[in-house]
Amino acid sequence: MLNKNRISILTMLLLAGVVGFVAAPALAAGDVGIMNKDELKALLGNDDVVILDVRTGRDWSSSEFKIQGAQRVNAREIDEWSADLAKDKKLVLYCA
Amino acid sequence: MNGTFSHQKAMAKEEERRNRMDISPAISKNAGKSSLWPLWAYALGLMVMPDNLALSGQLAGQLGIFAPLILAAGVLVYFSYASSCVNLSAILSNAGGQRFGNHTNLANWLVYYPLVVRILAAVLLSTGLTVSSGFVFNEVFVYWFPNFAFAFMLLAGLVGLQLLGNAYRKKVQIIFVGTVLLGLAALIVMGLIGSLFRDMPQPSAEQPMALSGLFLPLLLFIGFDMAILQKGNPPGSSSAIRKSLKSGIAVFAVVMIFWSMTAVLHVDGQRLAGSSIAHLIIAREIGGQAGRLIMGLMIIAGTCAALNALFESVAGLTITLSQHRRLPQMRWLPQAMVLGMAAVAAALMANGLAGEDLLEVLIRAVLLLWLGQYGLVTVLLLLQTTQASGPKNHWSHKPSLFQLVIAAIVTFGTIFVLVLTDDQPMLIVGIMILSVLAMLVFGGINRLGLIRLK
Repeated sequence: MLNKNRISILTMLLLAGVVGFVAAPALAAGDVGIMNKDELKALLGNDDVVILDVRTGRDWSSSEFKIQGAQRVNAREIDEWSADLAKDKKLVLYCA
Repeated sequence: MNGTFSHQKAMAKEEERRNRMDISPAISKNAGKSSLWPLWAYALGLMVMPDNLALSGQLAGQLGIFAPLILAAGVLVYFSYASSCVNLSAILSNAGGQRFGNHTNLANWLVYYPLVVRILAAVLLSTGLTVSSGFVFNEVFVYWFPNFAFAFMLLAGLVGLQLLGNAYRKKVQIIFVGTVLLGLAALIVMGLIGSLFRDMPQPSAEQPMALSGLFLPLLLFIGFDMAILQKGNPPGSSSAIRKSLKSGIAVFAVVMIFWSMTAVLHVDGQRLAGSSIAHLIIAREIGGQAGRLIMGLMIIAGTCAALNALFESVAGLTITLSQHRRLPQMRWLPQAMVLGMAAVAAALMANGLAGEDLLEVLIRAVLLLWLGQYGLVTVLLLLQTTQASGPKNHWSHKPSLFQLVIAAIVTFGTIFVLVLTDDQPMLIVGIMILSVLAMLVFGGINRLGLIRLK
């Protein structure tokens, strides 16, 4: 039993290591300003704010929550849709 | 040398006994200790996954009152698969043997097909289902808990479960599947009672029935064969297993029929047909917040049921193939396979594959490959049946020639239509070809004798 416990712990540590290693670069990308949900809530309905839902795959399809008025765009096709956006407006990209 | 000779003699004797009794090695060990629940729990493991709950909701929206008819037709085809696939264990135990007569080579290559398909399904569904469960946990139960952390913890927990004893896993699997079925039953009862006090939703527009909608129900029952080859060996005779599988498929179909009927009583078909969270919408419309909580629990339990069954199934197949010297005989190989699959899934998850549409294409391709497995097993039986000379009556309760022909046509027809109507047909075909090539590589290595060294 002790051996099995050790194996279980080792497994979890191994998986944690893999995730930490792969996710670290994403976590380090901190140049873009981050807005919390209360700040965004205060901006909802403001004509000078454009909310862009850039979620794809299961990030979008599994989620029950969609922000009202948000435009769904594909982040990979930014060149195609970014030209249409008004430059004087505040853009809020919603990705998770 | 002498010991090896007596071992070979004993093996030959055991093989002869199995051939005589039409009992696979996996089945024969526990013959007699019949219990329906573990068999059902593994057979229904993949059927109760959240993706199927969503698909059943979409189909209810697309097919409306025709959904029960299409589901019933699907059940008849799966009854034929169940009879054919119980003999899958016979293929593994006696591949290349006299059962296939002139089709020995085909059987030799096919023994790796289920393994390749299940490994791919385990990796891809681990990546997708755990992330879906993470979202549900975050959005339905604990808002502050990161969805990604939950997805990762769930995967680690399921891997840990694989390292526990077989008896624990069986019990836990029964709880997982039971939770989903009870949840569905509760929502159906709530929905049917609730429909007495409210008007049916008015259709917002005429809903055109998509061609794929007629064939998609066949995907709902994929995975029933995971009960056949398990690490812990399914109990009972092949006849008992066949009956158990058929009853499991029938029970699930009845639940799905009631579920689809309840769905259309509460939600507009067009809304369901176009939604990726049709199951959550139905639950919310039926029971409000209570319905959401029940469905949230079902999604997490369904994820656990599917992944536990898949991991177990890959480990079980690895052991069976090792026993028959088609994989290296290493004690740690099944555990290593599970750990390897989980590590790959964790890496894919961390790289954001669950957030890519590509994952959905890959999952669709693997499910079609799995359906193809049933088609190939059907064709093998068909070839054996039509063979002029050969042991025609060797397999008991074999489907009739007519059943086999219909099942083969429906299977390959379904695959053809679903590939053709997919958004990414070329990608699906490419993935399917690559997977078949992987299977052939396994078969080729085996034929060269490279994995018979030990």
